[in-house]
Amino acid sequence: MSDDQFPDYLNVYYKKLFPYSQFHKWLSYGNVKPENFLNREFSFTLHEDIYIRYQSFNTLQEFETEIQNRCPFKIDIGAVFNMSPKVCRNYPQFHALEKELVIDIDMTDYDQIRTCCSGADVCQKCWRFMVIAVKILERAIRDDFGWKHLLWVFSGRRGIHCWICDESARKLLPSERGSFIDYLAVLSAGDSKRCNVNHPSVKRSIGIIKEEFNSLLAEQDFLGTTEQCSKVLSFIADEKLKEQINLQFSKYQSSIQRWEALTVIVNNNHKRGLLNFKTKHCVEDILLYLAYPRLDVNVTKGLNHLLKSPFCVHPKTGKICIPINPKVIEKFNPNTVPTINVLIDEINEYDKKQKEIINDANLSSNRLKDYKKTSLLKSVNIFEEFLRSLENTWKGSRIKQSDIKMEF
Amino acid sequence: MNFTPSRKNVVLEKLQKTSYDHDLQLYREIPDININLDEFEEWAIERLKVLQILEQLSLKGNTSNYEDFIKSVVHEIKKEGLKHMHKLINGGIYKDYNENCDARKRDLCSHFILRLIYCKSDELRKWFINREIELFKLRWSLLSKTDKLKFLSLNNTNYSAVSEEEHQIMADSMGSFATAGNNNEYFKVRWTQVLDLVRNRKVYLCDGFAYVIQTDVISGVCQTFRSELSQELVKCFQKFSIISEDERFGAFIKYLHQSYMGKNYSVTENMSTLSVNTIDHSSKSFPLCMKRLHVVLRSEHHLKHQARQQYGLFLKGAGLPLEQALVLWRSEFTKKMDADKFDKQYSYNIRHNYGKEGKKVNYTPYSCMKIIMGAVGLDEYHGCPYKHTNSQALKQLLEASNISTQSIQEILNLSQNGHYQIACTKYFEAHNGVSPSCTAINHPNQFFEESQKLKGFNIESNINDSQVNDSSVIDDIENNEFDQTMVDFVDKMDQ
Repeated sequence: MSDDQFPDYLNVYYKKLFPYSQFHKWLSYGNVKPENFLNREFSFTLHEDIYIRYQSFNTLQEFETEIQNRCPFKIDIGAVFNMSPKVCRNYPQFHALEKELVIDIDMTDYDQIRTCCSGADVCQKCWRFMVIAVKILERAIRDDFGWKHLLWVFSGRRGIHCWICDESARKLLPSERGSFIDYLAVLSAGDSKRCNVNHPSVKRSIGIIKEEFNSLLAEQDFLGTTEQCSKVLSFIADEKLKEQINLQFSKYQSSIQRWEALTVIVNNNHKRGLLNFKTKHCVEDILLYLAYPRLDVNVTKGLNHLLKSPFCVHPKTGKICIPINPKVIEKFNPNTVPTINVLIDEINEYDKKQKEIINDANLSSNRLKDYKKTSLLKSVNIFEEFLRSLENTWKGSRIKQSDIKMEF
Repeated sequence: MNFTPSRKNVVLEKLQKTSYDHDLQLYREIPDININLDEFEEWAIERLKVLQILEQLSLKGNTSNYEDFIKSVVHEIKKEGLKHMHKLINGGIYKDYNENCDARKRDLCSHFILRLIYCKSDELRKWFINREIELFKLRWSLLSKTDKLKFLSLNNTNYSAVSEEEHQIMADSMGSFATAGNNNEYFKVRWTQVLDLVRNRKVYLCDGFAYVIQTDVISGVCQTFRSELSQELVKCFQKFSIISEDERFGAFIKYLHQSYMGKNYSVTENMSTLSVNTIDHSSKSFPLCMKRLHVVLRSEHHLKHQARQQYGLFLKGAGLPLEQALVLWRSEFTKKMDADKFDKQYSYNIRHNYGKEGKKVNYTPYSCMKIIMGAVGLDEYHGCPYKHTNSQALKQLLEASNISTQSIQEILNLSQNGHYQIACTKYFEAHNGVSPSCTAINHPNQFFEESQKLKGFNIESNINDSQVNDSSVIDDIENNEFDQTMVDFVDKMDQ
């Protein structure tokens, strides 16, 4: 796909493929409060980086038409405001009320430790970092904070977004969002600061890391060079212990063997009671450093922070920002994510085949929604599954509301 | 409190049900009752004594073992005959409900009276809040578990008890936050109520609830209490001018804090009046913070604004008259700038501090609290050396002061552990060979006055000493040089 083709493709994508009704259903939250959608800020990045903020829409139709007309390169979702962003953005009382609690993980933050790629690139090997990140965050968010409605979305190139959509999460204040993400961002205070590895939540995270660590170690070859070795050894505060391990490192070549040697030595020392409070948890410290999710905390903290919407098309890669099923996150391959041109080819192919099979252009093929003809279908299904479980929450609150109004 | 004499016992009965149903409270409602003026004063003074006991004992520095600290406070309160607070602290001693209510009423009223007295300045407010928090913590720690829970539910803090069942399931997870002691009770609360604990991963979370160990519960409640009290004191201050006009107790609430918080040294009653001629000698009796400023002034011939404020006001409190102060600053500053610039930029400020310019307020010298709480930037010399200087530099300062290495080490340790005022007191002892008459130093001018007293300092007989100038680090300046400047200056003033 060339750059000048992109707007044309985008045009087709917004006409035929973007799942407007599901999208509208999501952000209306059962229409318990109509403001949820009416006062929601959207912002568009148009051709040549023209950026327009504070768009809002009254109906699904308006939303759909506007997007098809403008054909934005990127759609960002902002907060729900106390009044309509489009009309009242300049009023002094205009302020953000609520927004999904969001988490952003970007592969570039792993550049210090990943050895396979760097910058914008991402491969199946470094995707394992994301697998670990999603597993750790899924567990912590669900178990520790008790939220259930998590939408995981591929960010289009090299990262993942998480939208936490439970009502209590959407209503959090910025200070509460800050505490939440600081709780999760074990590594954020710089690499050198050790965290309390005895915290039950951190312990569980370390457990998850351990499950994946051997594969990660083999793929990333963390202990391949002397430079990498010394970086890892800097987590061991005891010089003698470091010496012992270094000696073993020189006997072995592969990362796997070296890591085994390290854990054996540390365990032996631990059993003999030779480790002090500084070195006792050095293996855990290293595991966290090498595999714990690296989070962009500022995205989470701001109530008014914009985040790229699901089902956007990444202008550089052409990939769709598709929802991910966290249960099978290890099967997700960022390099086989459907791209806009593949999808459009798929529609054309399908229509052509249908025409060949049923010569007289049968009605049934036309009635079929276009996304169902393509590999986007799987992603829309994941989105719909998320919506179904979300729907149960507003069924409850709708009943409550009608009880209050005494409308039967 | 209602200061108009009208309401009757009807109100009182209602209050007994709401305000007096717990030994401990957050003082959220102002009592609407009648008390007579004697009670007004007596109760306030009683509470003030309690707060003072807390301050003195915590300044003594034996807070490392909290249980011992509690014991010594309770003992002292009993010794001072503050029986109402003593019984309230010990909880549940009153069998008679009315008597119990009476103690709680005293607690409530005295707290609000002291609010009136301690709302007047930032420093007073800080002092009062810190003491009230100390008292609150102490009283909390002596409550029974049921009383703690009752307190938490009465004050809408949303904490609930952790059931046996939950406790068993979560024992391991919660256990990682247990402290060595055996008092490891847990309370359950929505995680958004304890954001700091969550942020620092200091609490176990499950399903949106934080399982908070009792020592942490109190830090959360104290946080609430502190911020509420701080806001209320500011509000109180806004109304202070009206309330203090009440002739029945106006004078009482205006001046009580002075008789009990120590002197503020705004008016010098120094037996030895300081002068430019004697200052170098006297500076040996200065506390370290001021001694250092003096040295820097003499060697750099300049001090930055905050340092000029801290040192200038101290000198005023120590008895340096305005004219002499001008001479001192002028003689130093003009070594680096021309006299014109000094007169334009600096002399106004000095006169201002002495209440001769602008608002004409007679400014008070900084107390230790104010100096310790202040911010000190790089290349600035004001502040408290025990707090704001790194240990290397502090060591050098102390070594220049001619005290034993052992004392230096003790002082360094105290300062590293955050006991700045005790470190200063230790320095006083090392320097003068005896302890100050009070428990701890809490004002630089107090340090100076006490050391002067010990030396039986007499200006006249010591002028010669200052000219001899033995091991002092300070370059002495010829007296006639001062005189000449003085003459010049006086001439100029006359013109």
